[in-house]
Parts: sequence; C-alpha cells; structure tokens
Amino acid sequence: MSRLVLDRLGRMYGRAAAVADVSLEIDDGELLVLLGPSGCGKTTTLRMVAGFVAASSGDIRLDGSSILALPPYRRDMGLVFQSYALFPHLSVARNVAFGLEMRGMRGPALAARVAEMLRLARLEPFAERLPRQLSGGQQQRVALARALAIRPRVLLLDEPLSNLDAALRGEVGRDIRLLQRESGLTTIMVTHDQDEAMAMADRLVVMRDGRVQQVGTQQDLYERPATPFVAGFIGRSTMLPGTRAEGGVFIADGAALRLAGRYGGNGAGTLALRPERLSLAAADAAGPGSVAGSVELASYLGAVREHVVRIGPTLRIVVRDSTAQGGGLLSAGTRVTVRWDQGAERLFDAADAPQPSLNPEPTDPRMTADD
Amino acid sequence: MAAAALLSPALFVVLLMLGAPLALLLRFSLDRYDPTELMIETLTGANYLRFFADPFYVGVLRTTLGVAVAATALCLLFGLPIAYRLARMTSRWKTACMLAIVLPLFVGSTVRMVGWLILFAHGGMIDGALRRLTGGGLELMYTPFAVISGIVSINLPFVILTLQSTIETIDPRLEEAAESLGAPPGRGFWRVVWPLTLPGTATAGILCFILAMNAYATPYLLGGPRFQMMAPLLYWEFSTNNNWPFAAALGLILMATTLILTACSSLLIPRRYRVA
Amino acid sequence: MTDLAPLPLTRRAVLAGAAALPLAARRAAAAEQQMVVATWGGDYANLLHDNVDVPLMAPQQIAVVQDVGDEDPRVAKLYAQRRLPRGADDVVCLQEVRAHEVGAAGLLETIDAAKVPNLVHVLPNLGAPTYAPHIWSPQILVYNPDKVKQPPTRFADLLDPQYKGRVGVGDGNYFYVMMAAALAATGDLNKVDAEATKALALRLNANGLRLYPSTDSIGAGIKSGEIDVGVMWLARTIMWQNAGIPVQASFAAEGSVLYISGMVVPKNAPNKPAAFAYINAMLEPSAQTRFAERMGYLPTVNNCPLTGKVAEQLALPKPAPVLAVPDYGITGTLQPQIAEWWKKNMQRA
Repeated sequence: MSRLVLDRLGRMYGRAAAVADVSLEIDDGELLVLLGPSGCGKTTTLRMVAGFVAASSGDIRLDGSSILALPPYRRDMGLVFQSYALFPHLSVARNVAFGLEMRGMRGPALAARVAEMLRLARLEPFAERLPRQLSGGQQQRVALARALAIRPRVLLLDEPLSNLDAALRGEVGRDIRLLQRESGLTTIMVTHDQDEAMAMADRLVVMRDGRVQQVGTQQDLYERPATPFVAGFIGRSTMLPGTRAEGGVFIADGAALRLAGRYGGNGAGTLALRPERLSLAAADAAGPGSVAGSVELASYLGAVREHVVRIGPTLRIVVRDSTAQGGGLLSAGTRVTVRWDQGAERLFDAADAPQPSLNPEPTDPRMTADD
Repeated sequence: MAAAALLSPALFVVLLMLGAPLALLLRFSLDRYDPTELMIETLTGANYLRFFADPFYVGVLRTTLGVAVAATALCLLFGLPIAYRLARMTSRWKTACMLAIVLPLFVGSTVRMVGWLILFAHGGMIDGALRRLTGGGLELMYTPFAVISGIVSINLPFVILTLQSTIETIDPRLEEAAESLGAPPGRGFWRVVWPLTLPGTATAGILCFILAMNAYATPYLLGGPRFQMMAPLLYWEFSTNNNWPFAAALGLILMATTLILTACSSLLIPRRYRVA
Repeated sequence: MTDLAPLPLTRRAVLAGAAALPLAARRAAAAEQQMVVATWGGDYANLLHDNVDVPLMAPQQIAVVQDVGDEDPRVAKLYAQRRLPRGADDVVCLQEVRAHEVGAAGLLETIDAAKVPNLVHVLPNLGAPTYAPHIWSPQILVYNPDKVKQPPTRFADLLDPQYKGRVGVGDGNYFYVMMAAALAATGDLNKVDAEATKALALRLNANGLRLYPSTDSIGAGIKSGEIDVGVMWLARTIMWQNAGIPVQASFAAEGSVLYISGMVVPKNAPNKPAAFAYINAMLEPSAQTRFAERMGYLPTVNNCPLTGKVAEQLALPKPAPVLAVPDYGITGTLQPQIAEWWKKNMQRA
C-alpha cells in the first residue's frame, strides 16, 4: 500500500529551474505518466523520486513520511531505465536475483522468487543467457522483472518503450501494464510519446519548462486542455491565434470563424480545433461553428481522410473524418464550409486560460460536472 | 582479402622492425664471448646455462619480478580510484585533471627520477624534514621502497589512462540500477563496475608489469649499485663487459619471462568479462 | 670507470654536442680537412673544444667534430668497427686501462715522436706505444675535515668502526678501489685477485661501505653529511673544494694508484695525419695548463710548470708520495673476473 506525494518539489541547476513547484499525488496502484517534450523536467522529477537527484525544495512523501533523506538504495524503488541498464556480465537469472541478494536473500527462497519472476516475465528459457544475447523486448522484460523482484513500494519507468521498434512497443507496453496492474504497484512512468502515455496511464501529467501544465485522465486532457500547449500536445489540435469579436466571431488572419459555443468577454486569444471533430459541408452552410474556405490538399489515409482547408492568406485548418460514410476526396480549390460542434473547439484568452462555454454541453454525455 | 592485402605492407614493416632484431638477438645469445675477439660464432647454450646455474643471476631475476609485481599491484590500487573519479567526472575540471595526469609523461623519466633523488636523498626533503622534527633521519635512497615508488610514479599515468578509458565505456546507469536495487555505492562498485573493468585492469596491469620488468633508469638512479634488476645488469654486460652473447641471453630471458607471465595473467580473467 | 661523465647523458653534454655541430659545419667550408674526436662530454669536451680544437687545430685548416658519449660504447664501437677499412673516429679518448685492452686486441696505431713531436716531453711511465697520456691524477683518501679530526693515512684506516656506514666509493671505480686494496693488502697493486685483497675489500664492505652510482654523488654524499671518508682522485677533490664542499685529500702511506686518461688512434682512422696533429696539440703546455686549472688533473708533460693557486692545490706532499702505475698486461686480463666478483660479492652483500 503505497501512496506517493510530491509536495512543491523543485530542482535548481545554478539559477535555472529544471523542476519548479511540482505537486502530485499518486494513489496506491495507480500508474501516473509524466508526459512532455525533452527538457520539460519529467526525467529530473523521476530521478528525484528515485533519489539520484537531490531536491532543491519541496518534499517527497511515501505513505506520509518523507523519503528525501534516504539514499537511493534504501528507497525501495523499482527502476526501469530507458537503456535497461542490465548488468552485462550477469545472466538473466543473476540480474533478476541482484536486488534480492542485496537484501540478503539466499538459497531456495532466492531461487523460488527468481523463478517466479522469470515465469511472470516469460523469460524462463533465457535464464542462463547474457543480456547481450537477448532481443530488445526480452531485455526490457528482464529489466522489469529485475525491478519487480524486490517487491518495490513504487515502480519507476523511464521511457521504457523508446528503445523498442514500433511493432514491439504496443506489445511490451501491454505487458508492462498487465504486470503493473497484477502486482498493484504505484507507478510513475516518464515518456515523451503521447500515444504511449495515453495507452498506459491511469492519469497523466503534462509538463513543460519544469512546471506542471495539467493533471488529469486522458479524457480530461483531450476534452478540456487547460492550456494551448496541452491542446497542441495531446491530440494535435490546429491552433489559431486571433481576436474574439462581437457576435460569437473569432477573427484570425482576416478569416472570420463563427464559434460553436457562447463565451463571455472579448480580446486576443487562441482557438484550438480538433481536426477529427470537424466536418466539411457545402460552401453556403454557414451557422454556429463554421468557417468558409477552399480545399488546398486532400489525402486518403485508409480509416480517415484528411483535407487541408485554407481559410485565410496564411491560415489553414486540418479536417480529418472517417471514410466509413463513403465520400471521396474533394478536389483542390473546392469552396467548402468547415463545421464543428462545441466539443471540437477550445478557446483560450490572452493569458492562456481556458474560457468556459456559457452553453450547456450536449455533445458529450460522459462528461463530468467538475470541470 | 582486400583488407589483408592492405595490411601486408604494415605487417612486413612490423616483422622487419621487430622480428629481425629479435632473430639477431637469439643468434647472438648462442655465440661465445671472448675478451679480445668479443663474439665467436658458434651454437652453444652456455650463456643460458650460466644464467640459470648461478644463484646470483636467478636472484636478480627474482628481485626484478618482485619489484614488477609490487609496482603493478600498487599502480592498480592507486590507479583504480583515480581513474574511476576521472571517468565519472563531468565538470570542466575533468580536462584539468586529465592534463595533470598526462603532463608528467611530457617530462623524461630520468628527469623525474632526479626529482625523487632530491626527495629521498640524505638531507633531502623527507630525510631533512624528519631530522628536524624527530631528530632521527630516514634512509630512503637506494632502497627497494625508492625503486618501487619511482616505478609507480612513472607507470601510474599509463595505468590511470587505460583504466579510465575502460570505465568510461561502463554505463553509469548500471551503478544507479545497482543502487536502486539496494546496493550501497561500495557494494555496487564491487559487484557491477569492478567485474566490468577487469579487461581494462588486465591491460593496465600488463602494461605496468612490462614497463616495470624493463625499468632501467629508476633502479639505476634510485636503487643504487647494490640494487640489481635485469635491465641495468643487461646494459652493464653489454657495454662495460662487452659480453654481447650473455647480454643477448639476458635480454631474451627477461623477455620470455615477461611474455609467459603476461600470457598466464590473461588466462585468469573469466571469458565472459573479456568483451562486454 | 666513467670518471668524467657521471650520467649517460648530461644536459651539458648534449648542448656541447649540439654546439659543436654548426661550428664544425661552418669551419668545414673554409677548412680543407675534417676529423672526429670521440670523447666524454661535459667539462672535458668543452675544454678540448676551447683549448685544442679552436686555437690549435683550426689554424692548421683542420675542423674537429666531437663525438660525445660514454667510454664503454666508445670501446664497443672500436671492436664493432674493427673489420671496416674506414672507422668513424680519428682520435678516441680512453683511460689507459681500456686503451691497453684495445691495444692488446691489435686495434690501435703506434704513436711515436716522429709523428707526434711533443711526445718527447711526456713524463715516463705514463704512456705506452699505442697510447698518448693526456691527463693524470693520483687516487687518494678523501675526508671531511669538519667531521674527521684524525685524517686516515692508510687504506686500512677505513676499516675503523668509527667510520661504519660513513665510507663511500664510486661503484664505477671498482677496479681502482680493488687496486688500492691490493696495494694495502699485498704491497702490489696488480694483485687485485689475491685472497688477501678480496678479504680486505669484503671487510670494508662489512663496515657499511656505501657504493655511489657516479663520482659526483660521492661529493654530494660528503656535502650532505652522509659519509665522512672515501676513495677518490686528487683532481676531483680539487673540483669539490672549488665548489665549496668540505673535503681534504690524504695520500695513503702504502701508495697511490694513478688514474690516467689519454688518447689513441684506431688503425682504421680515416684521417691519421690529422689524428697525430690533434694528439700533438693536446700535449701543448697552453692546453695542458687549462685542464689543470679547470679540472684539477695533472699535466702529462714536463714542459708545463703550474703557477698560482692551482700549483698550490696540485702540489704533491713532501716527502713525495709513492705513485703506483698498474701493469696493464696483468690487470687487463683480470678485469672481467674482478668485475664479476665485485658484482656478486661487493654489490650484492
């Protein structure tokens, strides 16, 4: 039963803050993913939890007591590295046994625990091999088995899938998720890959420049991004900087977009539109949630088709819709109206604060009221 | 095949430069010495027999071996922690530290020995300081301690640089992995880093051992006339006695001993550690 | 035996050699001939250059190139080049004992007054038919007058327990030390292999004899107080006195072995006329005087009276000490076995 709390955690390198004011609570058995571009502070945060980087400020508490004073070897954290960091001179079994031996485990108990871990990680045939004789996916499983063997209080995963080729990622990711869930381990995973993050997380933390941008479930981040950065990073929205004008119109680069929702206030802001929630209609189909433009580029991608629609001198928006309804590609130059519902748009003010819609939101019945 | 063809001129030069003098040395060692004729061409094992039948010469070889083994052990003992620190250093001090270690190599070993002479001599820095402090001096000059210190000081940079380049190939994450698994830093080092440095340690040790076995200036200057090692003895036989056949035999015996022990030492390292 | 070159390559020796080369090249343009003198480096080479090569040889249109190095390699080179029609060196500087050995092997040209007119002035007993002596010095007992109240007067005085661990000799001078022991033990300096001689040497060794790797290090040992007495050439004593080292010379009652250094001409010397001219020049009083003044060695010619401070320093005591010249015919054959004996019994004690 491990509940991990990061309390206003910070790390300075000289005058630069690598991590600033990060507060998180990770529940027992939860898999929390730290997501962000490189240099966002996610790895530094993970290394502070592991004990390899000293915190400059704040606290880390495990089940209520601070672990900041503990050296890494007494923190009981199972750590899986991006490079796996398997001991190259030890067999798979000896790698898995390492942490147990450090805890003084010997003889049959040790052998039994190692065998159990090898079975769980489906590594039994490779027990006596050296790491360099294994494939990347197998090495990853050894790293995981080695970290889990010591029954850590927290599992820390540092970019665990990034060294694998694309075909293996999904499979190994599922393996990790299953092992983690079976053992009910409180887990922090760090990644820069949003698909990976979405697939594995219970909750996600988007970080940028050492700070937390937003914490929430996949749905929270996708439906209600707290900042333009999150909107752009999760699900790749089209970001349109512009000005809110009277009558529910958003002016961007000369183009007038009619907003689907009703918002208070005027002034500069940013409109984020989800390509997969937009649709194309006839040129004269104006109304709330629409903008006129002309098709510039059209691609057929199998499950979806993608149209790039030019709405201003330099402004384009991407419309991605399913090919299930049939409908071929529109030829370049075709005049169209791009249409959307309230759930497709997200409006931020000049300070990047999200603007709540004054309409009730009918599009998503699953939505919770606590937004 | 093309690669082999490219190699062959180099191979030829190496064979010529290395093989020919060795063959000549072997030939000389089978000749007979004469005070006026110097070398009389014949085929005799008398020079080798003379060496192994005389406890004096075997004793010199034993002294040489003892000094070489002690110097090698000390070099590895001092070199490993320094090399480790250096390899794991990331700050700008690393360049300065590397330079400090490489710099002595720019000074000839004879000149550095003169430094030791000043340090060890009667009334020198150590002896003089002790005399002032305690009233009694410390005779360091012309002792095995002086010779081993001198050899260690000369060989240490080679050992450190060899070890450092090995340790730098070891992922520091391995140590973090060990630590996260519950190994305190010291224990992690011995269980993870040390086994992986073994190939480099062997290379450094062999390098140090070979250099120590063949040390000339150090035993000559710091050991004094009463401390005999193979290289000065060989030179004395060659130049003062003009006994080239015996000197050639001494040279080959020294080389053979060094080669055999070097070959044995590489067998001590388990196969799995050899190439990571 | 490397009295004049304490280390294989001193910085000065290298500089002297380097300085000699461009000079020689410059001379060669004007001179009609060139010759090579194989010599010790350091002061000895510099003095030859300043007092023989430049003032006496250059006017004869002979450019001198110095081949600076140790005595042992010089001898080895003589042997190695024996079968060549033209050797590398015209004049080779050697101690008399080594010259005798090389001469016995038949490698040396005869030197006589017909070729070298100054030979008529050379003191008796110093030379040989193939050897022209250049400088000489008696081997004496040295002591530190600050520490030793009663100077040693005989070799055997060094066995005194009060000198335990305080006697020093040069390891390279082992043969001269053994000759001194032979003189003390048997009255004949040639009996270096006599049991009595070896026994005396071993007793000296047992009294904590210190062996120094070079002659200079003996002076350093006296200066630092490591030793109080030793066996050395008179010439060195004078150099040390001039350098401020507290040292006095004492002639042993049983006699003093002579250190003699000179020059030979190999049979295959490429320019023999120049070689003989060189030997004639080094015997000139002007050159001899400078070696006495600067290095404390005695002139080997009778037409070179010393004056001033050097005359005082080099004056032999009255009554005249016994000066003993080895019979190189005997000692030359004993050298290898004494070398071996010294190595095994004196060095490794």
